[in-house]
Formats: sequence, C-alpha cells, structure tokens
Amino acid sequence: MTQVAGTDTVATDFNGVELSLNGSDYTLLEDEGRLFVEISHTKPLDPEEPVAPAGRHEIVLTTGSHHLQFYWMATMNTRVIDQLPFAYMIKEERWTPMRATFLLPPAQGNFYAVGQWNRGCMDCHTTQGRPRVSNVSFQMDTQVNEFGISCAACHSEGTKHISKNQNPVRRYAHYLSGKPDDTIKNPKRLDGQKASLVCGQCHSIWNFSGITEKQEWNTKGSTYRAGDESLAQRYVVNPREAEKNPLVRNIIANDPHYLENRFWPDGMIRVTGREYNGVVDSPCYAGGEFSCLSCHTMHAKGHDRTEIRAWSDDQLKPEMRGNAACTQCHGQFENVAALQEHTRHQANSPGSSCYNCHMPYTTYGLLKAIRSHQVSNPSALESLQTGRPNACNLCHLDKTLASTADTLKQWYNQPVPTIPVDEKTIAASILWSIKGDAGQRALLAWSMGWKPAQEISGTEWTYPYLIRTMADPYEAVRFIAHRSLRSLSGFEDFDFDYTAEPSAIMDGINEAYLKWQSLKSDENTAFPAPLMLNSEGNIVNRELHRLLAQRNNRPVL
Amino acid sequence: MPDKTLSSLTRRHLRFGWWSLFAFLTLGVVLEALHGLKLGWYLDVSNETRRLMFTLAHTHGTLFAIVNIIYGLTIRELSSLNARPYMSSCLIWGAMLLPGGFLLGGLVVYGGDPSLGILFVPVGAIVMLIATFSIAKAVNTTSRR
Repeated sequence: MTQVAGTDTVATDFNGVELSLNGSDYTLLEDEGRLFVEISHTKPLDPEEPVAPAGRHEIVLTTGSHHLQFYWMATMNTRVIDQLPFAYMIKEERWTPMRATFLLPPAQGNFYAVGQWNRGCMDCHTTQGRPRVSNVSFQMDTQVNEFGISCAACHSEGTKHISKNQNPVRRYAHYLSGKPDDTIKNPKRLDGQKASLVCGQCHSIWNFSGITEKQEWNTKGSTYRAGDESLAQRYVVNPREAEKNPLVRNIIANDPHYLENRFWPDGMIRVTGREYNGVVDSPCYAGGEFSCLSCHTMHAKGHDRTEIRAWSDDQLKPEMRGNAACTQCHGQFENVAALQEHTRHQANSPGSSCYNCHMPYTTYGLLKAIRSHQVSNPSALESLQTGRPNACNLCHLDKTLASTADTLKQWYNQPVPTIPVDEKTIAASILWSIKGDAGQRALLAWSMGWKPAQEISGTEWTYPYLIRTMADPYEAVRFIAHRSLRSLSGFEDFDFDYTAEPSAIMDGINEAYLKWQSLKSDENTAFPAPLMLNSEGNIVNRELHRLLAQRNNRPVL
Repeated sequence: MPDKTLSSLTRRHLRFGWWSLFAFLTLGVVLEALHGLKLGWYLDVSNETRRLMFTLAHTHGTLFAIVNIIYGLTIRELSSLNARPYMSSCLIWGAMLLPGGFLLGGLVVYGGDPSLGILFVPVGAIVMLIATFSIAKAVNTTSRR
C-alpha cells in the first residue's frame, strides 16, 4: 500500500541514516514529522542513470509495509515523483539499494525512472488512481481517491450506498430480512469468477486493450468496478493466446522476454503478485464457486496485534493454513487413512500437505519463493518441458528427476517421460540451481532453506551449493542463498553483504567456505552420487563447470 | 402533598436510585472485566458498536440513578414542592428505558448499528426530558421551607 510519508508511517528510524550508491551520498532526515533526503554527488553523474539532482528533497510517499518499504521524493515538477534508490527491508532491518530487492540482471541500472510511480505503480498501489500524465510536457497532475487499498477497491463505489443508508429504516429492513444491499458489492456474495476478478484487477498480468482505453485510464482511472465481468479498459494476459492476440504480439515485439519473464513455458505464472493468472487456470476455478475468498479474507478476525500480524501474513482465513483449505471441497481427505492412501506420506508429514504437492513454491517475488496459485499435480514431464521445479523435487532436493518420474509412475500411474542422462544421475535441485535461469536459481536457493526440505533431504550437502550460489550474478539470488545458508547449523550469525563490490563478495564467499571447512567432519563421507560431491564434500569441479557452461543466462527481470 | 406521601416518594426514589446505582456500577465492573479478559465479543474492532452501547448504558444508568437520589433528597428538602406522581414515574421510567435501550441495543449488533432495543432510547430520553423539565418548573415555583 502507498501511504503519505511521515514519521508515523516510515518503517524504521529514519533520521540521520547515511547511505551511498554509485558515487552519490544520501542522508535521511526528519523535520517536524516530515521526511527529507539530502543528496550529494561525489562524482560526475552517468547520464544513463536516472539519479535525482543534488540538494534536499522531501519524501512524500512510501509504498510497502510487510516486507519492503520504498520511498518517493517530490520533484517540484507538478505531482511527478521520483524514487529514492534505497528500500528498507523490514524483517532484516536493513537498508538496501532498491534494485537489489528485485530479480534484475547485473547490468541493469536503476529500474525506476522519474514519474514511474505516476505512470505505473499507482495503478495498483492506490484506490482509483488517475495518472493524468500530460502528452505534451513532462507534467503529471496525478490524483487518487485514497492512497491505500480501501473499501471502494473491492466493494465498488460507495456514494449511493452511503446516501441511501442514511435512512435507518432502510438499514434495519436489510438487517432483519438478511437481503443483500444492492447499492454496494460484497465480493463474498459474488460468484467465484467475479469475486476472483476483484482481486485479479491488480493481482494479474494485465494490459490495456488499446490506446483509447489507456488514454481513458490516464484521465479517469479504472472503469472496472467490483462485480463487473471484465476489466473494462484492460485484459488479463493469457500467454497461450499470445500468438492470436495482436496486443500481446505488440508487447512481445517491444520486449521479447515479456512472456518468459512472467510465465513458465506452459503458461503457468512464475512471478508473485499475479496470482489471478494461476487461479483462473486451476481446475477448482472451473466449478464457478471457488475464488480467492475461498481461502483468503481481507478483514482480520480478532483485535490484538498477534492475531492481526498472523492474518496479515498472506491474509489467509485462520483455518486455511492447513489442509482445511482444500477439504472444504475435497472432504474425503479429512479421513486420515484416505489422505495417507492418496499422498503415500504420513498424515502429519509435509508430504501430506495439499499445499506442498498441489501449490508448490514455484513463483518468485519479494526475495523469496511463493506458492503457485495454479492448483496442479506434480509432474516430471512438465519439469522436463518447462524447467519448472516439481513439488516432489522441491522437497526431496537430493533426488533426481528420474526418481520422481518413477515414483509418480508407481503411485499415480503417470507415464514416465524420456529422461536425459543428467536428469537420471544428478539431483534435480542441483541441475536447476546450476543450469537454471535466475528465477529457477532463486527458487532453489530458497528451497535449500525451507525446513521441510531440509528435514527430508538433509543439509550437510547443501552448504557448498549455497555458498557457491552466494556468488550468483543476480543480487537477489545472492541474498536468498545467504539467508538459506544462515538457516544451516553454524552459519546462523554469518554476515554477508550481498550488494557489495565483486571483490568483497568473493571475500565473503571465501570466509564462508573456510567456516564450512572448519565445521564439517574431517572424515571422508560417501555422498550419494546424485549430490555431485566428492568424498570431502566438495562439488565435483569438472561436473560443475560442464553444467555451468549449459546455464540459461537469459536476462531475467 | 401530604407529608406521608412526600416521605413515600422520597423513599421510592432513594430506593430506586441506590439499587439502580448498584446495578449500573456493577455493569461498569463487568465492562472493565471484559477489557481485562480481552474478550473479542466486546473488544474486537467489528464490535465497536457494542462497546459504545454498553458504555453508554453504564454511564447513563449511573447518572440517572444519581438523579433519582437527588430527586428523592429534593422532595425531602422542598416540602412545598408540587411533586406530581407523573414526574416521579417519568424519572424512574426514563432511568430504566434509556440505559436499558443502550444495553439491549448492544447485545446484538448489525455492523455499525445496534439492535432494535435501541428504540427504547428515544422513548426514555423523551420521558426523562419531561421529568426534568417538570421538576425544574416545580422547583422554580416552590417557596423555600
């Protein structure tokens, strides 16, 4: 959410913080409840880098309150705002360059330009925003109804609702009859598809239907209202129809990696915050009743801070953290014997969690892996065809894809695909984390820190892989690898600056390597062959370099 | 009005006032206990209306109990007061209906609105206004003993 910046909305102690990036120094200041940044440049500016001019700038807005907080500066040019190139990581309690919070290619400079918030971010980070970007000059008279995501975003406009309900007789007639009030939309009372679209208006990969619609949006904002059947001026991108849709073809012409940066090759969404694309492709959705609100609620139950904090993590209904989310419809699996027969795992194990097998962690965002919202079955064939890690190998990190294929054949009679040699002999997680693109590497680095995977696959063999991943070209992958390494015994307090210069990164990796050497047993161990480790626990170098040569180095952002 | 009747009225209002005071102070203690126990039924954000209704019931009930005690003492103090029976009835009914309406209104709430028990509140308020106006007028025309 976007909030007006002030000492009451900033997520940390702001005053006096000093930051530096690419030859510019930033001093954060508070003054009578307002926030400012003093910028000075210590070297000539790179004209390619969008950097704010030296001087004192007021921070006027913040975005984010759960994981990261971003800051926006006034430019003194109408309502155009610019981004402070640093974000605050709330859980880690540290400042970091903004670009290091996204999965961005190393050569990518600052991601956001002046006015980017007005042109794009505010579309979904405010309620009923109107960019009002001038076509003829670099001026923006941006307006919003409210900065946060407020009532109107999900319940449609409230003017009529408020005026009609000033009549108490009308209100009590509704209370006592139980009939819905037709002056307002309640997503709970909409069918599954319309209810999901309320969330999907932002939580989807969408685009404008045409230039006319984009211009209308620019002046009036969204004409979609909760309860409508479509997004009005916009459409939800379906990668499977990209060839047929001239608008999508046009986007791809401008950005050849548009689809592959957002979707797995079979069309499943791979970035977070766009869960609607996954939901609509789920078999559950076809029934017409299933919606985002089957599991999520936008209003916290309970009043104390603990309950609200628990709810704000994914905004799930309290009872929806376990299998109850699925047994609402698939009631047969409330029976322990039936569940175990289906999952072939103990009922209380992570292998019997509906989520873990049917909504595995295959989407990326916010410096972590997030559950896929396209309900699906684990499939070795899909992993082979798309490169998307399957649920089995995200937990059984030490197993090969061939092993998964054999198991799925035995348990669920899935056909065994033709498996290449590496996928028969090397653990799938290792192949993805070495050969995969940056998105796959991020997912696997995260999985190596995921407790259920650590418990079933062991952690002794993951040290060298995580330490190696801390040298990844992508800052975000380095961050995740370091965080996972800290979840391993002996590395809980290991510091590493994932945004440092390359030489400092290598120093940190050497330090981690030496620490690991001092921690591990001197005795030689026979690691299973799929782990690609020699008897000392080191990665077999020849194999590592052979696989690195096959890495998918496509820029991912 | 004969002394015996006046004395009876005094006793009536003192008796009602003190018992009412006891009842609504007890309600206050119960409300504080609900805070202490952090009961969602009373403290949840969605139950703000209930909290407001119960608080209003407590404060009005306590205030009107004291008003009844004061009226009892007023009758004793001003022997020539033209204390008509309807004044007494209005004062007692007002002291029951108004806080009672808040209490009933808060037992069930519909979003930001109380239940229909709230309808007792305007009735109680009118009755209480009649009582206080009549008593003020009567006091105004009374010569001091």
